[in-house]
Amino acid sequence: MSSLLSRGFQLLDCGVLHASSILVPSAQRPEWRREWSSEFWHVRRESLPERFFAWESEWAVLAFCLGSLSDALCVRRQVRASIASPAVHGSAPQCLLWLATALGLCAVVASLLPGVRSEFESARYHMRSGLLLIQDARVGDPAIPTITPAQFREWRNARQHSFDAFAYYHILRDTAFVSGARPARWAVAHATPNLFAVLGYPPPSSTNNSDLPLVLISHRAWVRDLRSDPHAAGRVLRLGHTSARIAAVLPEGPWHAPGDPDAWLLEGSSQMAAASSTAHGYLIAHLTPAGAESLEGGRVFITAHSADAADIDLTGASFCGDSENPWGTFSFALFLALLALPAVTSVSLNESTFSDHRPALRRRIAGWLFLLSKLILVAAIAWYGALALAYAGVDVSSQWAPFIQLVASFGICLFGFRWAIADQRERCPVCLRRVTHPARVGLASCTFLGWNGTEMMCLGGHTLLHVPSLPTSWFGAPRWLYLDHSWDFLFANNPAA
Amino acid sequence: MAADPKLSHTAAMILQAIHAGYVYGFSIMEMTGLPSGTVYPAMRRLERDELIRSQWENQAIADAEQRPPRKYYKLTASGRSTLEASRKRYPLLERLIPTEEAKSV
Repeated sequence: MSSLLSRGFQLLDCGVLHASSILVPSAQRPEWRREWSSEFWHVRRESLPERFFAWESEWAVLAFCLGSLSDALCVRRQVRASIASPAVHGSAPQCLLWLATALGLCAVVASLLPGVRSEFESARYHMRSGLLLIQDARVGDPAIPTITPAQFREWRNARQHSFDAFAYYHILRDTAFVSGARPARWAVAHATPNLFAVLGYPPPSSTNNSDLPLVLISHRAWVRDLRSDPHAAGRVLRLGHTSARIAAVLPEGPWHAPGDPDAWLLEGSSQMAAASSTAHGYLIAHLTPAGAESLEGGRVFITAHSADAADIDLTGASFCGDSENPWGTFSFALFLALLALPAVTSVSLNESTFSDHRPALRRRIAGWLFLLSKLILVAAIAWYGALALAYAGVDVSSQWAPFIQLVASFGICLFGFRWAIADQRERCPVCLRRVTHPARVGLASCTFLGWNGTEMMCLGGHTLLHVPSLPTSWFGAPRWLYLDHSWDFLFANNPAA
Repeated sequence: MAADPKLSHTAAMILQAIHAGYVYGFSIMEMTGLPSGTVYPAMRRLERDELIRSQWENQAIADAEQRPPRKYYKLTASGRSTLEASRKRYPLLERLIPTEEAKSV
């Protein structure tokens, strides 16, 4: 029994030593283990009686082993302190490395978010300018369809002065049957084949060797009902009684079409002609240069004549897609942040010194390049960070996303630039290392024509920075004191010097 | 060392113990009555400050005695001068841990 207890204590002691050794950096661990194993061996031999079990002695040996924890932590701290040498701590490359790491993190997070990917995808497509959505002037809501197929055919065939292209679609609710998926009710836009050409999108790339009409699926329907099938293009589906071949999946975002269709079925003239004369749809027209001149505030009023010579009042509202360009939003936020920056911090970097001494031109250029790098990295972080914030939790088609992006970009840019300038002011003009070791100098109540405030030093031994706590007429701004060679002995052992 | 550091009483006791011939961790613990969690970290700091240096015992000697080799510590020149300064600061140090010379006198 006693040997079993003794064996148990020995295992416990060894476990403590082993656990402590994990705290020791790997380079020092073998040496540390060797010393403690040796000491442990001697401690056991000298402390424990050979023939019987003694609780007191076993506890003493265990207490000895527990001391290894403090020793391991001490070695760990010493090694860490030697690694974080003043030459690296607070240096310009270290600052840029941190910013680059933050930027990389933001970029990775943003690229993993489906909303951001979708936004980038949609930004690749640009709609043509000069597009109008034409509807009955008596209806104010652009989401309400007002144009019949007969009107569309009539105007398309008539000679036009102001328009050079018309496209039309009307929405029908059909059941979509896709092999391998459950039937779903879709809002299907029955559109003229030239719709996407009029909009300025690239034409569907899928070759259609069969007589089946082509259908383009919205990104939303593709994700929801086709489970993001990457091989969806080319598959045949049935919409109501019509079979069609999937030509492409439309990227989400570039244009939120009135009616919010799930699919776009491109139909020929004969199918369009067969459409009910009472169906109402949306008419999209492209202005000629002459027609563009008649636009007033993005709207144009049109009077058309029906077949029975009656006047029809129409209105055409200009649109260039609902989606905001994220780059445009960011640029605007950046511009606002630059405008607001002087309100939150002094943008002056003029260095006040106790003498006429100035660092060499090469060092001043390095300082400006360092500041510029920080500003660029902060702006890039704002770009990716704001995109991640804007599209992390909201739908890409949400009207809130551009607003969130604008506010986040503005906030990150403004406070990031403020930090960059404040950081620059606390960096030694010679080595660009942050000044450190703040020390209080003087007392306000005991100062007369002198100064009191905080003194900070460059670990490289180049400068001292004096920051007055009470700006006065003779000492208002922080001043640099450049140290001459008589100070070198203070920094002789400093690798940063 | 550019200047003699002011040692804590514990560090001064450990220096004095090493000077008195207690040259490995456990013997210093026994002599000073300090726990292992104090003695070993203090010796690390003293070695970092170059007041003591360590050396492993010859393996052949340990093998002959059928035991693992020990790590021995000894004072450096700056360690001796620091100890001298510490003795002035802590006059009872020599009485607590007398050296061999002091014992023989």
